Amino acid sequence: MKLTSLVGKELRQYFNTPTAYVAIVFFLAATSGWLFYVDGFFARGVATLRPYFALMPVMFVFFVPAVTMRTWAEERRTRTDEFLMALPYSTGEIVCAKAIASFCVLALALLLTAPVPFFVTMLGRFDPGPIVTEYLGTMLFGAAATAVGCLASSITRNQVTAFLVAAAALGFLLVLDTIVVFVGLDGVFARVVSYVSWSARFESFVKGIIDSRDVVFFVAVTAAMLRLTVHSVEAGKSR
Amino acid sequence: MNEIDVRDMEKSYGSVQAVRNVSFSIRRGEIVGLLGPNGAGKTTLIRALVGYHFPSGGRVAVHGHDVAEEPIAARAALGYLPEDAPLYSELTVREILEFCAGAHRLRRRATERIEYVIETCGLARIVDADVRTISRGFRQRAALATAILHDPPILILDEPSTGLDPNQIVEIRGLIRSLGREKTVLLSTHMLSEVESVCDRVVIMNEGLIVADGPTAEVVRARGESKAYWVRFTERVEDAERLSSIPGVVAVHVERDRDDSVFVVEMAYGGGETIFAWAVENGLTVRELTPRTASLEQVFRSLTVDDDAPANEG
Repeated sequence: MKLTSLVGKELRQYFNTPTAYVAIVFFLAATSGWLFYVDGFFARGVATLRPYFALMPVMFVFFVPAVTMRTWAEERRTRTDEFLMALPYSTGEIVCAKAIASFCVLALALLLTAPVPFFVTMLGRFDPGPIVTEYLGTMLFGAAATAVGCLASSITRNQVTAFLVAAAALGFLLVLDTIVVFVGLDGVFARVVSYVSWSARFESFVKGIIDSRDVVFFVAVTAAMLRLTVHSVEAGKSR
Repeated sequence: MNEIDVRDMEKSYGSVQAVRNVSFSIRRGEIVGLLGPNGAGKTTLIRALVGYHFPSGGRVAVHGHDVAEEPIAARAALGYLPEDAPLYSELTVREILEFCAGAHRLRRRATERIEYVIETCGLARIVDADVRTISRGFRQRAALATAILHDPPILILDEPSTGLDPNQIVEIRGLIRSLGREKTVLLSTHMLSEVESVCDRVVIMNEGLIVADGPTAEVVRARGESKAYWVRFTERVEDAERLSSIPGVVAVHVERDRDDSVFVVEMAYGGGETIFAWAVENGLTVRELTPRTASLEQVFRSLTVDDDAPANEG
């Protein structure tokens, strides 16, 4: 009940202001616009939504920081963190509740994309398997991105700074393997980069493959980022 | 049992030492006023008590729980009203109260307690309004409602009267006094009159140190610099200098002069009986003799204002 109250409070804050609505509308318009106008779904004539889901990580570079930027920065700016931290919650509980609420906004946005696959599957012979794995991969990628966004918000009291830091970090993680190829690095460094590459891991889900290593990777990254957020918040108490 | 126990607490922000080796305790049922000029370390001390900041050294315990080792048990035992009453502006007062009820796991008691604090703090009119739309006074009362919602044994109130009008100040002091009958209250304030009217005990801080600690009346009496008396005679006394011959007198001045004079006689030693004896010897009749006690404000200034430095406000 304690944690539910905290998640509920966070969600109310999202939906009592226009922030979440604007971010979700932007996300839906951008992803649908890409599929039907830029990518030319109907002109292509191929029964796959792979380009649609392949774009999701790029959208998350902007959408996730827009959702997470206020989690800690706004609490600090308005000094409500002092009120919150005096309640009987551990720092870990507060960090998790904020991340869960942010993830719920992201999950709602993804839920609202459901009509797209629902209606397009009526147009041809779609294989439902990849659509399920694509949603799973998008959720896992989104969870890890949300944790990165919360960490970025925990290091500042300025929402714009939190947005820019999170967007830069997610953008960098997304293009990391491309940079390695572009620079022409090989050997151990290239192997390490390919191991931690978010886009390569996400690519498997888009192809319809559920590799347990990819699932564990995104879950582990999410947990590690939340742990770092706890450290970041606790460090603020010692300063 | 000590409800609040602070031992050798220190807190530094970089090279600035905000609290220096502070020790004090508060017993159950005491209402203690925490006084000090801006930058004295009051808020730092309070933030360590509620676990918002970690002390650099020493030990802080609330309701028998070490704040560092059992932070959740310590926080569950206290209600905290932070300075400026920060509340979530996009939520309604009721939503905030419901959130706090969930945080404190009030479960079935939640509705009853919420209704109690709405009534006690006079929030009925604005309970369903967004915090951003309510006045400063109502916000202060809403924050106080969140602090007392779970009926904690300890209340820590940082500037509870800020932003309230005189009627509301009287009301909130009455509320604090009534809460203090059952609870331990630590009240940080700039309003010396609040300490004098509400608190049993005063702790005065300056430059990170506790410079006075004791029952309010005792601190005032002990720190009053010199003994002084208001003296009024039946006979007309034209020359105040005559009173300089009273044994122990260090200064005499006339405070009011209409039909008769009221003299302020400051004495290094001796007392009222000396003045009486002198009056009899000099053929005068003492009509009024009142010891002039120092005010808390005088004590506060004497303890916290450096004579060589510009005075601190508050």
